[in-house]
Amino acid sequence: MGAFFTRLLGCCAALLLALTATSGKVEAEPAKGEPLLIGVHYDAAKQASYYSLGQKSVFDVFVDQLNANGGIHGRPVKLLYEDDELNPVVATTKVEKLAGENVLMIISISGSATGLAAQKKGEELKIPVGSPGNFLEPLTTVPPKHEYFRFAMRDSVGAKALIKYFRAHFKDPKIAVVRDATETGLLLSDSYIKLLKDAGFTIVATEQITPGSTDVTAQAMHVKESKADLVMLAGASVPDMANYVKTHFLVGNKTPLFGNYLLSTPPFNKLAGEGANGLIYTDMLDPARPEGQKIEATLVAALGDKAKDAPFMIGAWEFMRWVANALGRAGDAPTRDSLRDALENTKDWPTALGPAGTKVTFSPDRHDLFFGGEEVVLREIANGQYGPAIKQ
Amino acid sequence: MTAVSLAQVLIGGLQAGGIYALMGLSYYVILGATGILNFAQGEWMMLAAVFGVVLLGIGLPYPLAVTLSIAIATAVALLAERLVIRPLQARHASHGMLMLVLFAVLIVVRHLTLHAFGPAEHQLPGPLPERAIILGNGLFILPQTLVVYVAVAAVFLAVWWFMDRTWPGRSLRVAAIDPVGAQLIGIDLGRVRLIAFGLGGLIAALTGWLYGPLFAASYSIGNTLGIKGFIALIVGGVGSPLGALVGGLTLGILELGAARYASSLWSEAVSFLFLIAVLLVRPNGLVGRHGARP
Repeated sequence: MGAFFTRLLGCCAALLLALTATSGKVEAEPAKGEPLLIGVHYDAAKQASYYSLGQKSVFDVFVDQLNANGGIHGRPVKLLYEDDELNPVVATTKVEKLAGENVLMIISISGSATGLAAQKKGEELKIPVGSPGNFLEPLTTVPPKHEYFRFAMRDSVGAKALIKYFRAHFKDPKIAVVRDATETGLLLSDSYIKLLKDAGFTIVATEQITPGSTDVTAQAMHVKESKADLVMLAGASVPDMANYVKTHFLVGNKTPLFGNYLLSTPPFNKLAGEGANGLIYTDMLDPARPEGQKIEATLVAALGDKAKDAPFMIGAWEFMRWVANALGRAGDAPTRDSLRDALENTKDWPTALGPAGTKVTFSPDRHDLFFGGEEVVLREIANGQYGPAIKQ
Repeated sequence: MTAVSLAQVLIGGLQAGGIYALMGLSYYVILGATGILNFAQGEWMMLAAVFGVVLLGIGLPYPLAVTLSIAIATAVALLAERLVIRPLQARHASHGMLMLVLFAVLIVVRHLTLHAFGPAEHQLPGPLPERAIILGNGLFILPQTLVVYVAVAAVFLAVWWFMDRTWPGRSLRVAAIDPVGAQLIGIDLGRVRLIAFGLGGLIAALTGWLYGPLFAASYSIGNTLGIKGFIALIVGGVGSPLGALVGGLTLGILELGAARYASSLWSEAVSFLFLIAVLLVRPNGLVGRHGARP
C-alpha cells in the first residue's frame, strides 16, 4: 500500500510538473536531499555545438525551474555534463564515465554519430539513453534498442511527410537533390535519396556543395538544366544551403524548393534572402499551438532572443519534461531499470511537439516520438520569416 | 560549354580565387619574412567578421564597424606575436615548435570566440546592396563580387608598394632573403616579425569583410578559408606575392570549372588532382623559382 501511495505521489508530482512547465504559477518548496543524477554528453565547440549548446541551456532552465518547484518526490535533479568533442570514441568514454558516476540516464545532445556511439555503450551498460536531437536513421531499429528513446525527427519520418506532400501536389515529379559535403550532410542526403527512390521518384540531379563555398552557380545551373519539378535541399550546413537558395533565385530558377528539418534553424531564413520565400520544410513544431508559444515565452524570458524561432530548443524542453515525468513514475527511489520501464510505459502523454493533439505513446515496439510521419509539421517560409504550418 | 556559362564560371572563380589569394598573401608576408607558418591566419579573418556582426549589432556606423573590427583582429594577431612567438623565439624554439604553438593559438581563439559570441551563423552585410547586377543572357554578378575584385587588386598593389618602396617593407624582403645578413646591416628581426604578423593579420582581417557577406560570419569560418589560402600560396609559389595571387585565382577557377564542367560531386577532388599534377611538374609552384625561401 505504501508503495502504491508513493507511486501515486510521484504521478501527482509529475502532473504538477507538467502544469508548471507551461503555466509557471504553481509554487512549491524547493527540492532538497540527494540529487537524481542525469548524464548529458554534448558538443561544446564543434559543428554540432549550435544546437548542442542551445539544448544544454534549455535543460538548465528546465531543471532550475523543476528544482525550485520541488524536484521529483522532493529530490532535486542534477545534470552532469560531458563534452564529447563530437567524436564517437570520446562519447563512448564519456558515457562510461557518467555511468561510473551513477547517473540514472544518459541524454545525447551532440551529433548523430556520437549519439550512435552512446546508444551502443548504453545497451552494453544497461543504462537508458535518449535524445531530443539526433536524427540519424540507424538509431532506430525494429524492434527498438532496449535502452534507447528519442524525440528527434529521423530522416525517414521527415521524408515520409514530404513524399506524401509530393504525391498530393505533383504528378511523378523529377527531383533534384542539393547537399553539402559535410559528414552529416552526406549521410542525410544519401538517406533522402534512397527514400525518394524507394518511393518511386526519379532523381534527375544530385548536386554537392563544398562547405564554405562563396559561389554555387555551377550547382544552381545544373539543377536548372536538369528540368527537375522540385528541388530537395537535403544538406546539413545551414549557410551552404542558404547560399544555394540565393543562387537558385539568381539564376532565375522558379522550381519549388523543399527542405529538411535542419533548415528550421535560424538564421537560414535571413541568410537565404528572398529566394527562400515559398520554401517548404519539415518541422517538429506547429507555431500556432499555444503550448509551444508558452514554452518559447519561458525560454525567451530566461535565455533571450536566441530562443525565438528555435524548434530544437522547444524539443529539448519537451524531452526533459518527459524525462522528469518518467522519473516521477519510476518510484520514490528510481533505478536505471525502473526509469527505462517508465520511459517505455509512457501512454498518451500530451506534448507541444507535432500537430495539435499529438501524444507520446511508447511501447516495446516503439521508442520514437516521430514514427509514422503524421507527427511531422510542414511549414513554409514567407516574407523571409518561418511561416505557419501548411495543409499536408 | 557556352560563352555565358564560361563567363559565369570565371566571375565566380575569380571571386573565390581572389579571396583565396588574399589569404595566401597573408600567409606569405609572415612565412616569407620570418619562415614561420601561421595556421591561425584564418582565425584573424574570422574575428574580423564576427566582431563586424557584433559592432553593427550595437549600432555602429558601417565604416566604423569595418575599421574597428579589422583593428581588433589585427591587434590580436600582434598580441599573438608579442605574447607567444617573441618569448619562444628568445628561447630559440624551432619553426616546427612555433607552428605547433600557433596552431594552439588557433584553437584557443576559436573556442574563446565560440563561448563569447555563441555558435550561430550570422549575416554580415556588404558595403553595397545585395541585389545582383544582371549583365544579360542570364549572366549576373553580385555587387560584393565587384567589391572583392577591387579589394584584391588594391591590397596586392598596396603590398607591392609597401614591400618595394618603404623601408619597413624592404626590411621584410631583406630578412626573407638573408636573415643573418639583414641583422648585419642593422635590421631588427624582432621588429620585422612584428611588422609581418601585423600586416598578415591586417590582410586576413580585411578578407573577413570580403568573405563574410558572401557566406556567413561565425566562429568556425576560418577553418576552410585558412586551408584554402595556404594551398593557394603553395600552388602559386611561396617566393613572392605573385605566387599567392596566381595560386589563389587558379584554385578558384579550377574549383568552379570542375563543378560546372565535371561534376559538383567531384569538383574538389578534380581540382586538387590537377593541383597535384601542377606541383609534380613545377614543385616550386606555378610562378615559384627554384631555391626560393622558405
